Amino acid sequence: MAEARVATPLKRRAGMGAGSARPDLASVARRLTPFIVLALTVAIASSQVPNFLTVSNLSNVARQSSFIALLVLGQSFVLIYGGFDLSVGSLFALAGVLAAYGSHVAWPLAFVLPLAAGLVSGAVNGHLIGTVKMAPFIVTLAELLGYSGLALAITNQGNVINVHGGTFFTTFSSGNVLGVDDVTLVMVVVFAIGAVVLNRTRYGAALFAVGGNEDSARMLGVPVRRVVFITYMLSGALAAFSGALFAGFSASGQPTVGTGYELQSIAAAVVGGCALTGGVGTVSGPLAGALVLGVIQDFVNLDGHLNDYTQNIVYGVFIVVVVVLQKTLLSRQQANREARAVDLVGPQASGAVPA
Amino acid sequence: MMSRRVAGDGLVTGPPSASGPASGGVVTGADKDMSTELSGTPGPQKPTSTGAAKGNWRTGPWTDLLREYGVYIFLVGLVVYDVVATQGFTSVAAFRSLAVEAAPLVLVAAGQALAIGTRGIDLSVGSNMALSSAVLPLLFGFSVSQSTEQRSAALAIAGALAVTTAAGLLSGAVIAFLDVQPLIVTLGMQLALRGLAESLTSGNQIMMNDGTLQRLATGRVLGVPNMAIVALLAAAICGVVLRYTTFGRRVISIGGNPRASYISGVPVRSSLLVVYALSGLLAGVAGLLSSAYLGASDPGDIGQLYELLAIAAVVLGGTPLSGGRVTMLGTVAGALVLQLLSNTFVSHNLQPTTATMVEAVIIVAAVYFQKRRGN
Repeated sequence: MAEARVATPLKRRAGMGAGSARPDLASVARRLTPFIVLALTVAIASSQVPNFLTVSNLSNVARQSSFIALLVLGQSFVLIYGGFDLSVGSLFALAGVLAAYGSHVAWPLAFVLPLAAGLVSGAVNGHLIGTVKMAPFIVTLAELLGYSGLALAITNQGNVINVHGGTFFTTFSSGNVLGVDDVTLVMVVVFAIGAVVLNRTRYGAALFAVGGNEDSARMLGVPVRRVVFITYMLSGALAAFSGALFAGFSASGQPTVGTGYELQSIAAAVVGGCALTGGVGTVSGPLAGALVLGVIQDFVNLDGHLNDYTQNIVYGVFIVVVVVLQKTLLSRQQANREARAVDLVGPQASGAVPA
Repeated sequence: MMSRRVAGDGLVTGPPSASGPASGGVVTGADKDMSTELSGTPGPQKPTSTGAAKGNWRTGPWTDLLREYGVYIFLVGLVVYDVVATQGFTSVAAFRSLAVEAAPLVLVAAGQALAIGTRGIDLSVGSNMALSSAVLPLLFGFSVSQSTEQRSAALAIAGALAVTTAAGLLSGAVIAFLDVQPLIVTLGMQLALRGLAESLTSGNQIMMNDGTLQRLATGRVLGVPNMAIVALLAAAICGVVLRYTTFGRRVISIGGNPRASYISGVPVRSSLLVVYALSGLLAGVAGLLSSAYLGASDPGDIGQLYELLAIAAVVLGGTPLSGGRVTMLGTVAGALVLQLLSNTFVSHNLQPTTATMVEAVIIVAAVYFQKRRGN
């Protein structure tokens, strides 16, 4: 029995030398897809619009993408866990309104109030989804309705609240360092921290474990509830922080801003390689995904032929095509991994888990 | 129809110690896939009852009652409240307008219930309503400048429904044959269809003065508004199809366990195709009714947020998002609850935003009670 197991891989390795190069190819292709897509969209945009590839326009794209990019990072963590966060869009708006109110009292409150709201929202999500085991979709959907209602209610049915200017809050969110916008820098720094958290911390490893198989993770002693709790707190805090920044940047708290951000952020994260089934994802891919959406938007603005309606058609078709591509590559990668598992363990063992 | 099963559950379940917690967890897992039948169907009912009883150690009969009947209790409570506290609620006209206003949501929710029954979701229904609304004036021959129709109503209506069905079919094809998650496919379709609908009319509202549409919107049969009849008929057909046809059993089976269904010979792909096509068709009818009610095509506004309201209605009605179990009656009740809530808020001069917040709390509470059952 033991001899057979040792013998099988050797035989298979020798026989399938050409095939063993395939798994790496599929996984590399899947990891590179977001960046290839980004490069393609930039190439198409710059070939159609003459002044697309200028420093001022590109920094424009980066600045405009940075607000939703922060949401995308939080959403990616939630997707790696295997959940959704539909509340981020209206939380973005609520946070902006709170920041605007806070800025009139004292500028630190413009950061503290929204962040507190984001953390509370995340804690509620984390409790209801992680501990009570309610469906993430419906919980965060209800919050989407609730927060947008709340944002409208505290602004007297949709008034725009001015931000008190001339403080660190406004100079920070609309300023720049050596020509690079502060919000772009914030995006870069936050994503760098996100990469470290996901790849180099115990929490990051636990997140992948829980997303891959929650029951197995629990049996291995991973504190599942705590992981879910932290994940939703992160997503809520990032959405709220982004909303506060946007309020400072636009000098107003707008209760209806951020509509559709929840779905756009899921789309960007999925284009960036996060699987909706959980356990799969990176930090750099979703960043590329957010930039892709930003590039398309900028392209539509600059190019005269397209309008908002056709932009939506492009978005929709684009998302489905990229996801189909990702899905194909992912299933090929998994098929290859299984083939390798057959090589190492023997056909019977892996045959027990059909694809 | 659900009563027998619930009563049985309640009696068999008894005290929380009916079975040990250790085995309970395991049985719950198995039970989730086993209890995939439509509630109340005589055949596979008995084994499920005992299975549910075993997995059900966490809760007593009261929570079960609330879970199964919550939406009806809530609906009746709301009606009683309105009869007592809302001016003019008891008039026939008020009931008629409620029935008319709820009709599109009932239709969309019925289609959504089918999709959710297969463990899927259809986020494109709201945009599909808009598409139906946008195609109508094109086929009628209406335009911003042209206010008399050129062609027959039957053709225009059939054309609009064909287009939305085709859109649903496309979603279904990507979901079934490319094996992509329904959520992301229909999310993409939501954006694309809304964009398509708005570009068809260049974002304009187009008035439609057509006799057939007016009869549809304002006509009555035996005092019941036509729109309500269409919606209830469609929901009833969906309910009957789900319960008594092979296709219906397949839908439930796929939702219960797609892999097992596939292995046991259920044509998973073609069933999914039909489900999403049906959801598209029902959304098309809903868009038709909304346009008829409005007397105009307004693809920028029609169907906004309907996908989320429909999901809320389905879940409120007692259909779990995990699929494998659908109550069509509950779905209709859920849609009525949502519509009645918003009507109640309006007639009490409460802000619509307050209504939204209350709805949010109610949805969470409803799902919370569903979850208390331990599955």
